[in-house]
Amino acid sequence: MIRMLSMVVGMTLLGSVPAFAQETEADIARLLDHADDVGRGESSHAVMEMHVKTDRYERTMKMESWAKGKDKTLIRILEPAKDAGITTLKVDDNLWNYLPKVDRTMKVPAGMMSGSWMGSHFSNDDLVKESRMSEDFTWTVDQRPEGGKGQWVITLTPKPDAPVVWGKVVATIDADERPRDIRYYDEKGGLVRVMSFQDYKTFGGHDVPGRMRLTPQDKPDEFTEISYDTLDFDTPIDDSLFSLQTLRK
Amino acid sequence: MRTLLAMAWRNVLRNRRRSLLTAAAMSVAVAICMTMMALTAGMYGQMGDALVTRTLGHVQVHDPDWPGKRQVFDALDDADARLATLRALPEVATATQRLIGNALVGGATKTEGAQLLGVDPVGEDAIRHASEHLTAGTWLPSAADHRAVLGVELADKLGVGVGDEVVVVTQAADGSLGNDLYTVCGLLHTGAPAVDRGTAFLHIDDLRDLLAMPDRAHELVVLAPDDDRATIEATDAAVAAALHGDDVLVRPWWVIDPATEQLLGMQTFSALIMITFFFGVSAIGVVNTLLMSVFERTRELGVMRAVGMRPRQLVALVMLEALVLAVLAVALGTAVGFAGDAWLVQHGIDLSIDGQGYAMGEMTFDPVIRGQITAESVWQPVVGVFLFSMIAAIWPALRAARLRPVDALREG
Repeated sequence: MIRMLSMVVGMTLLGSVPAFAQETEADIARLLDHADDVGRGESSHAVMEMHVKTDRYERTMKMESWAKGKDKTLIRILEPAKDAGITTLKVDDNLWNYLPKVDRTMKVPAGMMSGSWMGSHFSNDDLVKESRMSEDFTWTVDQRPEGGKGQWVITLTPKPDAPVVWGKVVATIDADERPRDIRYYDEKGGLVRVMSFQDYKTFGGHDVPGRMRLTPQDKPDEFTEISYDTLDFDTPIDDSLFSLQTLRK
Repeated sequence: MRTLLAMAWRNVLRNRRRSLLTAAAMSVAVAICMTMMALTAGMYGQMGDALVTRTLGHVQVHDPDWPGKRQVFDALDDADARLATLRALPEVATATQRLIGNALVGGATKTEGAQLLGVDPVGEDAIRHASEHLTAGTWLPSAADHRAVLGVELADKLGVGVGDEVVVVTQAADGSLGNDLYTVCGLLHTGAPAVDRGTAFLHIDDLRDLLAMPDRAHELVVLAPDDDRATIEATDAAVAAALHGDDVLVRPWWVIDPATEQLLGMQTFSALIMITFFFGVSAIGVVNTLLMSVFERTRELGVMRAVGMRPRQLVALVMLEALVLAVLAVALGTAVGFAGDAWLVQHGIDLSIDGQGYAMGEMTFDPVIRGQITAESVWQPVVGVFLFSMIAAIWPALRAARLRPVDALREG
């Protein structure tokens, strides 16, 4: 999810890439690479709110997150009090949860990776799955902005051996290079979920969507929405933060 | 008729060795069928116990949305009150409630996904007899005390034993991450792999806390006073009537788990095959014996026809000879069979490999399978031997009846 965000941030920073009159494959590859890479090798620190609405419950959590590069993320829950202190650590493809109530750290086993993360519509897999758009997908540009208006609509199809669960992904990006939404389809071509980006704001000098909403298509009344209270980039974070020792703080 | 019977008896005794050998062959078939059926009944009894009586119960009550998806939210409200209603019914022998969840269970170093069963320790024990199947420790105490009983294989995988703590993490019904510590107080071996490999038992009140589901249950489990179908159907109807008006689903076990019913139904089928096979073989011996005896007596039978005996009476005579053989076989066979049964009931057959249970398909059996004498395991071989010897006698009997007196007398 943090990864998704950094990807989005990357996309929003495409201003440096000239708008193509008629782009080449290499141009799009560079565009996607650029989007993938901008969030990497850097660090971010955020305080955010996650609002989860399902048919069964509705809850809001406040959390703080640290991310470094593409492989390291730490998310700590601040509110509500019942869950405060629960911390998720992601290093590479591994995920651990620290539970302060029982003072235990548990690695999320492979069989539980498709399960929900903290009761949201994000799965544990969403936190760890890494793919590079230019390497793991092939794409077609279905629509492109003209004269500074309209949108990019890029259909991404995963390559056969790519670590991607989706049948295809369609990204819609406004002419001003701001992603509007990303649609995820299953292998039969059915729309599974939509991630939309709203309320663009400037955080730490970057143009970033202030709210991201994930809507599962089989339950259109449900959603998980993340909004940022604060978001800083490039603050130095020590690697030792992303360790099992830190989890126990 | 009486005369015919006396004649049949004398005819059988005429060639004692041949008759005795034939009867012995038939009695071996009776004895084998009896003991094999007693052993199969013991095995299927164990399976039925483990898969039905101790796990499914006879009748279960669920939320209508529960089957198939088994979502944690599809639970019954006011479970305590509903359970009390069921327990008061005369058609209900025992009833209990279960809350079911999926969770991560962690020992000191390892973590496994497991099913959580929140149970009323007293009510559950009345159905599951869990306290008799513990390999270590004790069953859950009747009051909630943050204790857990684990399936033996699950405990093995986690590397925990009695007295160790396990951490349980799950998605609670309010969306929060339920997590808590429980002390392992017992290890359970039921023979049902789903339970032994992947179930942790908690007090239902502990699990209600963990899942944030007060006074709710996924399953009400009822045992009927007897395990025959008619009794269970009556209990099913009584439970449905008692909860009438409530939005619940009441089903007998064979509707809930048709695969298990099919599996247990194979007992009847396998007995049928065995009986057909053994008595089919011994019937050939009977045909041979009777045919020989009819051929040997061609002249004698011709005389009997000549002095006025009807063909029908000759048929009856040969049939009676077969019947006498069958009676001898039953007397001898059941005697040996009961002796074998008695041994199987008392000692059983040890199918274990170094003391472990014996696994077949999805079932693990106790190391020693004991026979179980059922009515079927006695009457079916007995009826079988009579039936097959009667069928075997048809051809020799017709042969005897069709003799023309003149030809028969000349032949002699």
